[in-house]
Amino acid sequence: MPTQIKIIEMVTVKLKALIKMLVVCSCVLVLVILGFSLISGCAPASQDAPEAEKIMSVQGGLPFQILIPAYLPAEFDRAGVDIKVDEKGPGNEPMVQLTYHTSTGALLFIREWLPVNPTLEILSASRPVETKWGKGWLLVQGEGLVALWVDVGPLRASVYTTFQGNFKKENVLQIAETLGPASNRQVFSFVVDSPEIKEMAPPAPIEISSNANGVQELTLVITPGGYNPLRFAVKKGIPVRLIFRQLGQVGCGNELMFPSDSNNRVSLTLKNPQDQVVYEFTPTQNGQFQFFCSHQMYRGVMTVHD
Amino acid sequence: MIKNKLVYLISALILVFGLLGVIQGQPKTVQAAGKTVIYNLYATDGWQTLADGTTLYTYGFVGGREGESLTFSKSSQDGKPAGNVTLPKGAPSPTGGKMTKEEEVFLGNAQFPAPVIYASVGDIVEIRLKNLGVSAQDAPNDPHSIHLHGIDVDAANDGVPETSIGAVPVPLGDIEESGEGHDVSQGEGNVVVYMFSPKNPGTYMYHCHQEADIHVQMGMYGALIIYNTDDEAAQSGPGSGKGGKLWGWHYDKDYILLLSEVDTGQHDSELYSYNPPFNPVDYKPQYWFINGLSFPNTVHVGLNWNDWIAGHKGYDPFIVGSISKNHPNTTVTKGEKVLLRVINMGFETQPMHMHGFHGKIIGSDQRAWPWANDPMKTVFGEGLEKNTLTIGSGETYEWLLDFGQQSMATSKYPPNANGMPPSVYSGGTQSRYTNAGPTSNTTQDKVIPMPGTDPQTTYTGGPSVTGLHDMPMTGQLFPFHNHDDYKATNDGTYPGGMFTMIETLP
Repeated sequence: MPTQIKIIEMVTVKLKALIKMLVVCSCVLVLVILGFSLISGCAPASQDAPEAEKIMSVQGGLPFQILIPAYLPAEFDRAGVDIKVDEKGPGNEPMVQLTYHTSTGALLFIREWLPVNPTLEILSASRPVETKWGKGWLLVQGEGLVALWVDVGPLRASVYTTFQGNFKKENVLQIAETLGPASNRQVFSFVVDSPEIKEMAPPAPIEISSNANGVQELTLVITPGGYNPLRFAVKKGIPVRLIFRQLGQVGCGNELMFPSDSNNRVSLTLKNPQDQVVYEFTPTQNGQFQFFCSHQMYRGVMTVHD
Repeated sequence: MIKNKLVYLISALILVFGLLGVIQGQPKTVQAAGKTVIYNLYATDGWQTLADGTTLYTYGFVGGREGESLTFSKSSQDGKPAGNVTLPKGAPSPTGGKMTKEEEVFLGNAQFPAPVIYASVGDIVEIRLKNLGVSAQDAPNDPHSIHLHGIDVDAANDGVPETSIGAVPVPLGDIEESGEGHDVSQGEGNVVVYMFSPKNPGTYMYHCHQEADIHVQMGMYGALIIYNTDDEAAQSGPGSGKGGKLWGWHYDKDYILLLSEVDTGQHDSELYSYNPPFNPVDYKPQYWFINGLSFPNTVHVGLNWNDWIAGHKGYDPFIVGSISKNHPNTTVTKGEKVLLRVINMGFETQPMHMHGFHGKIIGSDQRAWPWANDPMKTVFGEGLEKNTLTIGSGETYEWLLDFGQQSMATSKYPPNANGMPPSVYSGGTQSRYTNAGPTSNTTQDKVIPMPGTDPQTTYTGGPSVTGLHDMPMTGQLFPFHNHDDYKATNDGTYPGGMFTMIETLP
């Protein structure tokens, strides 16, 4: 019996020692792993741009200064960036394309060009968002594609990727907002101030003033590019005189479906390109009222307020 | 004692689990490969010459892949071929605003069908569209858009003008200045940039969605093919003789078969801005097409084929395959496997019937049909195999043919070097004759003339068609046609319309 007790005691002591050793080793291991992860991604370690030399070597032949992002997630290999200088922009302008890679094959593209007609190059399905450069245009295609156009002075940059995982559209915004020259540039891979995507409100409607007779008069013109004005505002309770006419060939745009009240519309039709139709009404309800052509292709908004 | 032991044990467990948690929580990067593929397209109008010499007014797109040499066919209003234009540097990227000198070459030369667009899964496709307006003075000058049919995008990127954006035509020379301070150039000549990243391989199409009842009928549609990144065909596009793998099925080459039809009444009405008016519900077509061609153009006869295919890359509808191709080191049996990408962009439902084969339906509308044909289990000869496929407007089907199943051994034609009987049949196309009567298709004998042109000839037909010249001698020719046989005519003249051939080669 005493031998058995001794054996149990011995085993208990050894077990205690083993557990102590396990605890110590685990602590050390956790600290080591934490240390690595901090070094690899999370610690704010800023450095000079590794791609600066590559950029400067191709800068010479270009009509604009190539910009690089100060912020880029750590997965992207800056030094290995591919640069193409013989590309063409959406308006046939000289364009530069930077392609950043990760070790798993993900790609981030940045294309830069000086748009010939900035207002006439439009990214379809994009929404206007606030960026530090002013209005940007953001396209998000489900989980598959994020593209952001920003104008940095006269230079337009398109930042886009299909990279998923932890990479979010807010990262694309931060990349675009930190674009700057390649030389003497500190670069980093930590997130600053958790950027937020904020959509821009549409431009304010044009206020229609009353004429000498106390009537709010406006001419609404349908052109191949849409209605002009696109958005206008009138006061409730004051008569409105709307003159509808067309400029150029507008197809079905010669018929305007205009709200007569919140539930009904009137049809104003121009018989020929020189015709004009006058519609007089007094708005009685505040709100926003859409008007459009018979196929709802051309559209505009009338705002009524006090 | 026990309490201390417990404390130690619990601490150890917490540390171990914490460690595991840290390891698990490391962010996983998801692979996303791909390149940017750019297409520069212009919307305009054009004139096409049909198989019977009729001229058809169309709307359409013209252009191509950035950086690749572009050849397109010039419109002809008198039925005589006007030749091709080649731009060695490819279609230029459109410029916002008025039409530039470089872009003028495209005005009035819309292609029919629109250029093929192809890319791979994971690519980022950028289509730049500019509307050059119409060259026909009395035609309406409508905005246009591009709807990516079948591509997984949201509504705003869908090209439907009621929910997204349209390309406004360039300023017309005769627009008068406004005296009231309005901006007359509102959006005119804008360049609309469509960006998308395809997620699923398959057969898609694109078309204008502005007044779709008119613009689609007028010809604004083209094929859009998405490959897997490792498909050989992903490098050169559809109809280039290269293959790949789709939903587990190997194919050696693919063909686009884009079906459509026209009622010339709609086209005549558009040419003069709805004068005479045409109600789409009165639609009654007279011409039917595969890839914009009617028979016999579909089998390269009756037109300058080299010029046409140079100007319509990827759209050859004459299906050819070898019965004896080897596939070493794979489980694929002998004989070429040919993928037919059937698309219906017309307004009618079409029953397409192939002679000589039953093809596997491996998918439809950009999704696999493994329940119909499983690449791991369903061999050729089993599963959903059809020789007549009914395809509705807007549908696409992937129809896989096994040429290895079609051969004919005769004592006159021994097996070829690969040990396979050649794919010939006695008689061939009986479009030749001697004084003794119709003969097999040889180059020595005279071609059977059209009825009434040679009073000495009493034989006016054959198992194939009269007037067919220069057909290859060796291949079996299997018609592949619309089984509503009046649609195999050109405005009532048979044969014509939606009719092509499948030819088996040794």
